[in-house]
Order: sequence, then C-alpha cells, then structure tokens
Amino acid sequence: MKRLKAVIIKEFAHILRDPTSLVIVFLMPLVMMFIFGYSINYDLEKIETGIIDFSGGDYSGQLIKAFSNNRYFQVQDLGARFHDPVAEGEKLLRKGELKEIIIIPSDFTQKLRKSLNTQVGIVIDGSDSNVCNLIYQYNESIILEFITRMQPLEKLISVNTKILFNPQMKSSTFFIPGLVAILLMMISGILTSVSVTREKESGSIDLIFISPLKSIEIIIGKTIPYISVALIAGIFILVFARFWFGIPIQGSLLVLLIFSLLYIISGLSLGILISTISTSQKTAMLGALLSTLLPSIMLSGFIFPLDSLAPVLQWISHIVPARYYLKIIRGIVVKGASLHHFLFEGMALVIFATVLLTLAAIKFNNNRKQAK
Amino acid sequence: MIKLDHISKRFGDIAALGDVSFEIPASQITIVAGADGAGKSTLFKIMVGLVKKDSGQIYFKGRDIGSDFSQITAHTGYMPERFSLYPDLSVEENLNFYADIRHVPHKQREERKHQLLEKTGMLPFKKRRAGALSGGMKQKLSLSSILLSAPEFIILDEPTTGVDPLSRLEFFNIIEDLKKEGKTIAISTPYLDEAERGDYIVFLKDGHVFKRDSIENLRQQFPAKLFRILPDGNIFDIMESVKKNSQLSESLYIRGKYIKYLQSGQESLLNLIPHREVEEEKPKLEDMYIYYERLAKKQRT
Amino acid sequence: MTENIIQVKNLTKQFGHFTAVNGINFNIKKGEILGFLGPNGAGKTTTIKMINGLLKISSGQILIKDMDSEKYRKQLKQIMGYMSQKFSLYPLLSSFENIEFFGGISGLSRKVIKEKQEEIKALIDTAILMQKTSDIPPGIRQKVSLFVCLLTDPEIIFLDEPTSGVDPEVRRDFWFEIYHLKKMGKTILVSTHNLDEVEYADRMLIIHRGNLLMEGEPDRLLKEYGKNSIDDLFKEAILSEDKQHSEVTR
Repeated sequence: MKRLKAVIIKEFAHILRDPTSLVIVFLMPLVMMFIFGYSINYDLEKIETGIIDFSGGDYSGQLIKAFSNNRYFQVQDLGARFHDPVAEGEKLLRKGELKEIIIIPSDFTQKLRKSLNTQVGIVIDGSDSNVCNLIYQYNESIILEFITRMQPLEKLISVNTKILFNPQMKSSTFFIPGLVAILLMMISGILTSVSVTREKESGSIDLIFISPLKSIEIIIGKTIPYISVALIAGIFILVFARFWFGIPIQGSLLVLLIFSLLYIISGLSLGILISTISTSQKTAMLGALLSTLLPSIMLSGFIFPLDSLAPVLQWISHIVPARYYLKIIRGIVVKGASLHHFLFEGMALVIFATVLLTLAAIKFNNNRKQAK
Repeated sequence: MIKLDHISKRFGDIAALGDVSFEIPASQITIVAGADGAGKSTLFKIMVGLVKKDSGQIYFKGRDIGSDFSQITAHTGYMPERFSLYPDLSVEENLNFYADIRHVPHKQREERKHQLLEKTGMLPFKKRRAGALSGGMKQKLSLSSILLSAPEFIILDEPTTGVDPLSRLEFFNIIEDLKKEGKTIAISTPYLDEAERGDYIVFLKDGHVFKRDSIENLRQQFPAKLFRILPDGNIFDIMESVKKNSQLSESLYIRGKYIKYLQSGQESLLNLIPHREVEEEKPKLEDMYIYYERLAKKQRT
Repeated sequence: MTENIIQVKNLTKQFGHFTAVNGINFNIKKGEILGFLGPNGAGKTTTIKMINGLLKISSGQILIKDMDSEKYRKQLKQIMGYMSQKFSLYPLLSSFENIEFFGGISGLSRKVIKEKQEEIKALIDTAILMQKTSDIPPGIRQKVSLFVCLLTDPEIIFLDEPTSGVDPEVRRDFWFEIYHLKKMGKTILVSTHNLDEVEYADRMLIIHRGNLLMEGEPDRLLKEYGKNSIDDLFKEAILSEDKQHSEVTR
C-alpha cells in the first residue's frame, strides 16, 4: 500500500509540474468546441421514419407514399405495430431506432376533401443537431412537392414540426458530450502512454522494474492519477456546457460516472499497451494518436454518422470503445436516457475495459520479465 | 558475492557478450574496465535482470539464482549509466520515492536521508529540482537514492562518465567509504586512472574478458618492463618510422608527449627509437590494459 | 612568421539570461593544432559553432582571414570543415550514402563523390561501409565522420570532441590522423576533455564557465604555472575559476 501510494504521489507531481500537458488537457476541448461547432456537414443515407396515420384515406396515403418512395427515408407504419403508437414511437426515438415520427391527424383526409385547413405533425430527434437540421430540410422538400401536386389544395396544409430532446437544435448540445468522449480517450490514452515511455526513455523504469514493486502496482499507481485528471477534465467540460452553453444533463450522473470510468480504463489500457511497444515518447504519441484519438473522432459517430461510413469502416467502428461511450453519454446528457436504454453499449464497455486491461497487464509484465 | 558463469548475449547479429565469467568478491571494489561498446552496461543489466542473458548461470552468495533476479535485486542497489531519476521532482522527493518503493520504514528513511544529504553536501539543495543539478551532484543524488535502502551489494554503471575530474575524485572518496562500511561494490568505467582505486579488475573488450585478477596480483606479476621515452623529434613522425619493425611497434604506444615502451623479453629495442630521455616507470592499469589487450589480440591471430 | 587565420575578439554568447561564452579573445594561427580544453558545458561547442557560423554571435567579432565571419558567412563556409561531437552522420544511412548526401549538399559533382567513395574503400572495409552507420563501431563511425568533414578539402577544420566515447587505442590512432592533416597545412581546432591529448597540440586554451582561463603552448604553460602535468594545470585553472565564481555569487 505504501509502495502504491509512493507511485501515485510521484505521478501526480509529474502531472502538476508539467504545465504543457495540463494546458493541452484544458485548452484542447475549448478549441475543439469551436472547430466542431461550426464546420461539420453531414450527408444522410437512411432516415428511419415512423408514420402514425390516424386519418387513412387517399390523401394521407399519398403523403405516406411521397415519403416511402424517397430513397432517403425508410418508412415504417407505427400505427400497425403498436397499440399506443405515439408513446411507443417516442420510446423508439429515445433509443435512437427512429429519427423522426410523422403524425397525420385523424381529420386529415376529411378536411382536405372539404377543402378545409389541416396540419401534419412531425417529431424529430434533435440530439444530433446537424442530422436534425438535414431531416427538417428533407421533410420540407418532400412535403412541398406533395403539396404542389395537390393544387389547388396547397394552401390548406401546414406542417407542425416538434423537435425532441434538443428543442433549440443547438449543435453544442450534440457535440459537447461527444467532446467528453474524445477528451477522455485522449487524456487516458496519450498521456499514459507518453508518461510510461518517458520513463523508458530516461531509464527510470529500469529502477522501478528492479524494485520490489509488483507490475500491477506500477500500473495502478501510474493510472490512478490519469483517471482523476480525465474525470476532472470531463467534469470541466460538462460544467462549462451547463453554464456557458446552457446544456443540462438530463439523465443520471451516477450512471454516467460508472460508464465514464469503464471508458477511461479502456483508454488507459490502450495507452499502456502502446507504451510497451514504443521506445520513444514520439512514437508513443503517434501510436496513441493513431489508435485512440483518430478512431474516436472518425469512427465513433462523433463527426460522421456511422450509417454514412464505408462498410469496412463501419465494421471497424465496432472495436472502437468511443462508439459505445458516445451513444451512452449522448443518451444520458441529451435525452435523459437511463441504463436499460443502452444495455448493449454498457456491456460492450465492460468487455473492452476488462479485455484491454488484462492485455495491458500481461504485456507490461512480459516486458518487465523478458527484457530485450 | 556474485559469480557469473559463461554469460553470453547477442543483440540480433551483434554479440554483446561472449562467454563472460568472473567473480565479484565480497566487501571489495571490483572494476569492470572497457571502452564504450565493450559490453559493460549489458553485463550489469544482466546481473539485475534488466537484460535477459542468452546463456550462462549467475550465482549470488553461492546459490544459482536461476531466473529469480529478486534474490539479487532485494540486496542490491543498481545505478544505471544515465541519470535516471525524475528531473521534475526535487532532490528530496526523488529520495522519498525510491525509499518508499523499496519498503524503507519512514523513520529510517528520514534518518538516512539526512545523513546522506549531509555527507554528500547536498543538504542545501534538498528542495531543488533534480534536473537543475550539476552533473556531479546528479551522480551523488543517484547514489544516495540507492543507498537509502542500505543494500549490501552496489552496482554502479559508469558513474563518472561525463562528470568533471574533481567530482570524479570526490565520488571515488565516497565509494571508498562505502567499502569501509563493508559493502560490495562493482563499478564500470572507461577511465583506467580511477580504476587504480579498486581491488579487483576485469578488463572487457568487445564483449570478452581478456584479463581479470586482483589489482594487487596484477601489479606484482606484471611480466613487462615499462619505459617512458621523450622522443627526439616529432612523436608522430618517429612512431611512423618505427612501424616497419613490427616487434617494436607492437610494444609502443603514445601517451601525451611521451612514447611508452613495454619491454616483455630480455632484449631491449630502446636504441631503435631516437630519444632524448628514457625513464623506467611503474606500470599502471592503463599500461597493463594495453599490454594484455595486445597480447590477447596476438593470441587470437 | 605565422599569421592569425582566425581572430576572436570579445566574443560573447547569451542564451536568455545565461552567458555561455563571456567576452573571450584569442587567435588561431595558420597551420597549427589548437587544443581546446574545458569541462562539460564550459562553452567549447558554443564557441566553435559561433566561429563556423552555426550560431549567431551575441556580441564581439570573429575575423577569419581578415573577413568578418557573419558578413562573409557564405564564402567562409567553403573553407571550413566541422565534425561535431555526435559525429552527425545519418544513423539510418550507410557510410556510402552519408558521403553521397553530404557531398551533394556541399556541391560536389557526381563524379567527385564517386571518387571519394572509392577513396574511403581503401581505408575501411567495404562491407562495413554498406552498413547503417548506427550499427558500426564508434571508432569507425569517427573515421567516416572525419572523412565526411574533409570532403570539400577545407582549410580550417573544427573537431568538436572527436575522441569522446572511443577506445583509448582508437583515440591514439585518431591523433595520427590529426597530425597528418596538420602536415598537409590545415589549421585545426580540437576540443576535448581528454587532458593527455592536449600535449599533441601546438597551443592550448582552457575555458570554463564561458571564460578563457589560459592560452599558450602546453610546455610553456606548464613551466609558467610550475606544474608537472596538464592534469594539474587544468585542475588549478578550474578550481580558481570556481572559487571566483562562488565568491561572485555570494
């Protein structure tokens, strides 16, 4: 216990005395907020759309056809599937299985026949503001086309769109949780790998290797400080998000914390794995960038929606922890989702953390035993 | 204390150590002398288990340790060639860290720390960052960090390389004090002048031991006479001119403005060298190194 | 009658608040070997780099063949060769490739480079010349490095600790090479911390903490200070400077 404490204290001292890495930890998210806030564009392939048709009849049928014939929309009839389609539809929306719901009121066809004014209700998942924006525009163009074909009834239909989860469609609401995901991976992966390799470079790891310290003590001692730094940085962003961007956390903080820890452990383990094969801080940095940061940004759904990736990349994205964590943190922060909404993702993180940590410990211990 | 038996090590194509055997006697200073690339560091790293040997046995206090190096490291302080403490931590923090990971009880740690800092004259620099210390002080700090756990066996890998001559002298004074306390010490060095202060010496070249003995024995049994010659003319020109006589050139080398002549047989070839002064000298380890190294080379071919 | 090929006047170099070289004055005579002594960090490398134009001068002046070293940097570069402490060869390239590269950037023609590559084969085993320079022994690396430094046949040669980290035997051999260069009429500045070697120099300088402490022929200095060996002379110089330094800081 005393040995472990010594390692932890020492590691904290390193972090606190190296202002550059601290600046990176806290300045980088700020920079990223601006970059990602303004410059990202999407292209959607399939918009999962649920339709609830309370009206029936030819006019509503034509409207549904207009959507289902369009290649961007994948339409399913919720009214036929569920007893309470509105409530169930919203659940699907919350789970992320639907992107939008189109609700055709019961008097739609009737009113149009009588040349009376009527409405279409649309609910869109706003948690990804860019996607939401796009869906909104697609809807508009389809409905516009539909209406134009319906002359002279055109003036009678109005569309009433409701955006769920992120009513102001602020893109910050979407990307800030994502930023937490990236940042945690960066701190845990890059900082640990660099810190271990620095000791390799300076030779101090040799002194630790021949001390009575157990490998697991070295790993735990070295990682606890980085877990703390990662958590503090994550909290920093979320607090910043709350008071600067006005994004409250809808779901449970405890659940978020638990999954964040699992996610951080995956990152740290990756960092240690990288440090076991790299001999200089430079290679460690590069290795960590390539294997943690890059996939976490590109293959997690943070920038590119997973649907829009090439099939190979989609397949690879399954082994990127950030993919699962991103879904969890977005769910919790934006939608207020709770544990049972992402059991699958949660399990994935548990598996990642366990497997990677075990691998890291084995590899590290081998490194120690089978010196060159 | 420790016995190395037929140790060999290759790094890829390069043979770093070839069949090295020697013993480090207890409570003495053993010097492993050799130039850069001779294999000194590899040898020491193998002793503490930082580098895996390809073959050979290591005995510690008479027992074959197999692959359990903790039998050695538990009683050993190892100081690597490079300064390996943490430059961003203070002198005191570094010492605390190495004491704590080696289970030194708090009270003992504080006592010894104070003693060591006082002895090495570093007490005023207790709070200074290790990175800001001079080369000589860094060495003293490294040494102190391993002495905190009071090891019986101390391995110092080139502790005086890159350290100014005065600090080198001072460092060896500390080493001699440690010997008086009964410690067993192994030091590697490329400097043969400081090797004179050891008890036992191992000459290493290209991964091979070409001579090992107690320094006392070496001095008594050295088979050649040594002459210091002040040449009459430019030293390089004269050396060039005697090159044709292979027997002579083999026993000559230059040291400063003097030519040194190692006469191993009865016949003196001194007269072949244009000289102004000749003086017989007591051979030093440096001369012995050259003598045995050339002898080994000759025997090989 | 010897002429001063290099004149160093009040040369100072500052890195921020740290004074690496502190207003030193000395001359280098044409055709001499000047030994440059000093502990690590004394300012030897900094001085050499200011003379050969690799570092900017903070204040003072250097005249090389009566030309201002900074004003005529380009022309002067042609006549100076420099071998750095770390031998500065590209570790991943072979000796041949290093020669090709350094020859190329010094403006040698393809034909000359080929000739040089043939020339070095006479000195060192071809198989070794084809290995990455990171894999060859330090002694040979040093030889190749010197060869590279001499590619352009410079008049003035700076050797910055050419003998650090090599076998004593190799060190001695290297001095034969240096002497050979002197015989060819080159002017050579050699920095070292191997004290015994300085005796081969025609004149020597001792520098410590950026200050020039002694200058002159080794024998004359020994007599002047009443010392038996360069070792003692060096210790005396360093000690008195350290003493002064600690008095100043106090």
